[in-house]
Amino acid sequence: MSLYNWDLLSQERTFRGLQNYRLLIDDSDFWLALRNTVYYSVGVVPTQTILALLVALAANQRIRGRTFFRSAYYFPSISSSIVVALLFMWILQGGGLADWLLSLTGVTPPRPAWLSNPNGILELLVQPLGWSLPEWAIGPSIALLSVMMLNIWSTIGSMMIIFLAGLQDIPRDVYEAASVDGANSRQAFWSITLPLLRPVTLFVVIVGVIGTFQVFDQIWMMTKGTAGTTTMVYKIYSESFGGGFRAGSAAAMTAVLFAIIFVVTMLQLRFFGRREA
Amino acid sequence: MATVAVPRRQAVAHTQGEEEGPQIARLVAYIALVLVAIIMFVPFLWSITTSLKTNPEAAQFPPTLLPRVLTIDAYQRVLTGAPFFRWFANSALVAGLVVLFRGLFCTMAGYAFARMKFPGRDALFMLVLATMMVPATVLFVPRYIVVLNLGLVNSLNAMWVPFMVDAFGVFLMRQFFQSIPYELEEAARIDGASRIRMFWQVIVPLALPAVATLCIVAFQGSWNNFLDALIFISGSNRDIFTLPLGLAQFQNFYYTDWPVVMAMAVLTTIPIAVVYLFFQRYWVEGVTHRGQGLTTSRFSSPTSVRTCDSSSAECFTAMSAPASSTRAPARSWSTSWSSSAPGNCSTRMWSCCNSRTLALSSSPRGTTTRKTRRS
Repeated sequence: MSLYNWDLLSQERTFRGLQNYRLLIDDSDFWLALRNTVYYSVGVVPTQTILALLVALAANQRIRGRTFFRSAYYFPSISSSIVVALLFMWILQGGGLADWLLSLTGVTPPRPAWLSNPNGILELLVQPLGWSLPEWAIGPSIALLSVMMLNIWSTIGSMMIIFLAGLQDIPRDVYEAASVDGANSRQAFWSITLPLLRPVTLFVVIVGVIGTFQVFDQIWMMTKGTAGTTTMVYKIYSESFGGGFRAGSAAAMTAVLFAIIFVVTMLQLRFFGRREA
Repeated sequence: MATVAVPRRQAVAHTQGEEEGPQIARLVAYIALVLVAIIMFVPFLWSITTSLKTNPEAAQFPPTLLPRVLTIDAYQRVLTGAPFFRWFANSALVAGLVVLFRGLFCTMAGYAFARMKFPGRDALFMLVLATMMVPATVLFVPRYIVVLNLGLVNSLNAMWVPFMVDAFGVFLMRQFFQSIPYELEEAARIDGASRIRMFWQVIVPLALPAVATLCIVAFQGSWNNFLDALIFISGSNRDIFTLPLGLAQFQNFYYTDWPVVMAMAVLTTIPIAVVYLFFQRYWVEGVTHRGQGLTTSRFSSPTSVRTCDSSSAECFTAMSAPASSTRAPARSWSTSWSSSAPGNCSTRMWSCCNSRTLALSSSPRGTTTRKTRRS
């Protein structure tokens, strides 16, 4: 597929070898989509992993209503991505709930409103200092950050549940042994809980990376790729079905994206999976 | 296995999970949990209150937290302005078919891979596993071509025919069947049961908890499937839309009328919420009554479940679904893990498939990974 030129509709397709791939290299939109996807992944994965771990640790205490909390946190994960996107569009609208809450704390809400704001976050941070950044360094746009927040919000629940299962699998004896040896709870956390959770963490991170590389529904619904939010899968979509009708080129991007996911996963396994051995 | 499993479960009940922290720590944890719960719920609550407001009131700044004038006008307008029940029926039909076929085919295929001997079985299973390595979302262009060649584009059939089987389901069921003791089958065979009868009367009833997992996965994936609806059926008459697509299109028409959009969002969420609640209970029953020993000891060592998600987002949410539902399964999975992980899955299988599966199969014990890697 990626070696052909085809518009998805006609019978005709012509062979064009590696031409589709060569065009990708010159396609600045493709690189932009790739960059946004990397921002997205780098922003979302560590945040959601750490938050999910913290929540799991809290929920692992003997506390009334644990089951309730667990079910409650998981609820966003089971809801339709379109519903969730709509909820956030409504909240993040100019003059919406988010703006109102911000204004209560005395912070000026971003203008243009969240999801239509193309300004890079790094650019906004250095602006008061009077610096300016080159185009490639302005960081993810406010709009992309908003979608990232949504993603973190909706996946914490499922990540937490994976962590909880991992936490409950750690035998109590280990903690008892540690406390006999005089370890305090912080030491116990750093030298027992975290190391023993390592495979679970690795899993959560890999799943997170793969998930963030595939983000589409929210982007389509909330921004249609405007305001600096075009990501890889969205780009593939717009290249093919979303008006581009260049199936060959879209297939080439699919192949590239797949290769990236594959390589990134392998690297994670190599660097984080092996150390425990 | 049952005898082994039960004490283990009790042991787990006293693991660190039940640790009595100092009062202060517990208070802090409690406050944090409540805060996070609020953050999790606010968007949903906000959608409900918005849907009960009039449009001018919803547009006010600062917003009113609770509707000053309570009205169900928005819901009425959803029902008159869009073929909501039609979309609902479409989604339900499609999800029902996906659940039915996936339950049937994955169960049968899983059984065949686990218990029947035929030439090329392992190679074939490897092939099935290999499809799990490719994130499904990414492959929508090739999927479109297949569906196009089947002549299904712009028909509701496009929403269930390609999703009748999936590799994760086959994998899950195979793992489960491998954990069922051979003796049961032998006993049935000695009593003169045919293979088919044995499958339906002995094996399937035992496998119900696993089938339930499979069905939840399938239902959720189908009910929330947006991307495929967008590329397969969005070009046609809106009468064949499914709910997510209908909702998206609906929002395009009513984008300034937020109470109506929120009312529609609420209506779309209710069914999945009900299923969620229902299956939570089912799960408890499934675990406590039926194959207690089986589920706790071997059921889908998290290994299997976790591998799934390497690929699609759909799979991803699904995989943790069962664990989330109640305390018991979450535990049973983790317990299962140590007892079953390396021995249960044939070493060959693990060494052949690529190392992503390997890592995902790694158990909290850490040993699985090492063993499988070296093998």
